[in-house]
Amino acid sequence: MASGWETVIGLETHVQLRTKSKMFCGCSTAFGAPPNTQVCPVCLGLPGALPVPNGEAIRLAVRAALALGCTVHPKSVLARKNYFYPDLPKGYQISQHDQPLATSGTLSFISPERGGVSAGIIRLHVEEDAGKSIHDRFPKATAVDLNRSGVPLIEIVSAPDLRSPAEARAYLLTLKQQLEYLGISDCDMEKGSLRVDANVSVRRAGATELNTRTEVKNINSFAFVEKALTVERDRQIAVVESGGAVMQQTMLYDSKENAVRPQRTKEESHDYRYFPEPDLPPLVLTPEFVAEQQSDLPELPSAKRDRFAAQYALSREHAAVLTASRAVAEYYESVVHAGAEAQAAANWVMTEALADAGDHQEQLRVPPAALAQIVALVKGGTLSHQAAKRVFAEVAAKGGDPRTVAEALGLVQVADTNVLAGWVSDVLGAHATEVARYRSGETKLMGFLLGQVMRASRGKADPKLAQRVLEEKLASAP
Amino acid sequence: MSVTRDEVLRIARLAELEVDEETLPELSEQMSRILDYVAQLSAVPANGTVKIFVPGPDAIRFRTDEVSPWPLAFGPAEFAPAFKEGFFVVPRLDQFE
Repeated sequence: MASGWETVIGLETHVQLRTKSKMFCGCSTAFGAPPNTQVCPVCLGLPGALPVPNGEAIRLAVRAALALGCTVHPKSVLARKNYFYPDLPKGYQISQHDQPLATSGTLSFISPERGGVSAGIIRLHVEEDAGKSIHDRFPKATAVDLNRSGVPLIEIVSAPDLRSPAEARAYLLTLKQQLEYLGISDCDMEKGSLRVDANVSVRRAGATELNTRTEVKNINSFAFVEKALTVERDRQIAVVESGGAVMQQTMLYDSKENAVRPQRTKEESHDYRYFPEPDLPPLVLTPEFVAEQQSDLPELPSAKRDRFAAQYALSREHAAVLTASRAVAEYYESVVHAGAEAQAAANWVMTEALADAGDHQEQLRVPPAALAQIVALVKGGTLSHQAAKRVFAEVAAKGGDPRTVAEALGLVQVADTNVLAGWVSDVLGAHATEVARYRSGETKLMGFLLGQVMRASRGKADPKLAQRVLEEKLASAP
Repeated sequence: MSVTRDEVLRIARLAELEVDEETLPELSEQMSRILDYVAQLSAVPANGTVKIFVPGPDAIRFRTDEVSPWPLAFGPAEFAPAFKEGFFVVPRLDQFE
């Protein structure tokens, strides 16, 4: 980026809520069904059909709002947002306008450039999703799938508090993590369950006014968030530095070309002619309902991170890795509660367990009690670390009790000094030259001799104990 | 209140409707009558003390989150102007050409 410039970004994030049925009808929200098989008179906008709101969608939206520290309003109003588009069969979207569900929250996150930052949340409102238009399926025509029409959404509008594309990405990842912890959405950008539009402007460093902004749309992955905003930021700076002016317009991001291009729309298309939805009375929430949702919120990621660091004496980095997802955090705590030492459990979860999960659809396949047992077997000297990793892989693949698996695989370390002494004697007898050199002062040969003992035991000797027996034998008279 | 010919044309454009030149005066007159009728609402006190009329209950009644689709009388293929391979088919918008 050219020096002397500051970027100002605000994000509008749409999140599909994890409900079984749609916002205003009983159609399924399941992803991936054949096109137009999850539709009914309501979500197709057929004449005479009336919307009936999904209580679970409202409950999830309230939880999201509370977790973001928003004020949840006792009364809000659903409104019609009118526009014409083939994937909006009613000709309007039921959304909220001047009386949204919640306002005035914050989201704290770690900015790559500024450290801890708190971004304002201007509003959070509920609405329904539109259908999906597919422009490249048929020549000269657009294919429309209305399975998504009516899926419940929340829109979260941030204040223009983000100062770089990397910061926007960090905000979004933190928001995703928080929403996943709440269990309100799977936040999968590739499936479209989390979508983001960005308002971007630039100004001279030190300036305080907001300049003309553009809206960047069509950002389909977390990786593209940073790229798309970087391209648009650089475009705006180039425009201003060459004496031009930024025009208020919508830009579409093309990930293949890593470029933005203006969306060709008519000026009037932004006139949504909002008015209160006449088919739905106001959305009224009792203080008891809101209080119940507040008290039922789970421990959120930042609080859990702080607690893990303090309670388990973990570094901030380890605590952050272990709390990155709620499932991993709960798994780690279960391993500790099953008796594993906290740091050893952290090491196992961060390496073997997460690597295995990465290869198996994020499934943590080794039960917490089994992992705790593996940790204990290593600590007690029954298994070497290498052997324990093999036991972990075996338990992950086939299940079973770790000790039984270790015994079946012949991995249990031998700690019987009589047995060890037999292997040591064999090695000393077979390597008389090295033994003589060791006794004459070449103590570095201990490594070689110990290696031979481990080899003779086929890896089963307890290395610490074997070394002790070896040292004793070498110290005694030849 | 009078709706002008240009306003009718702009509304038609917003609604993506084609309007004949000879129909414009009649539409202007009809729209003006509608707005005059609605303008009577301005006589209602609007100081916040008047409760807004809501047809039905005062607050939304919720549905439980169950998959129970209301069936269509007949499938989309039968009422869609164009339907192919399970999709509704519409002319492609200019911006995607």
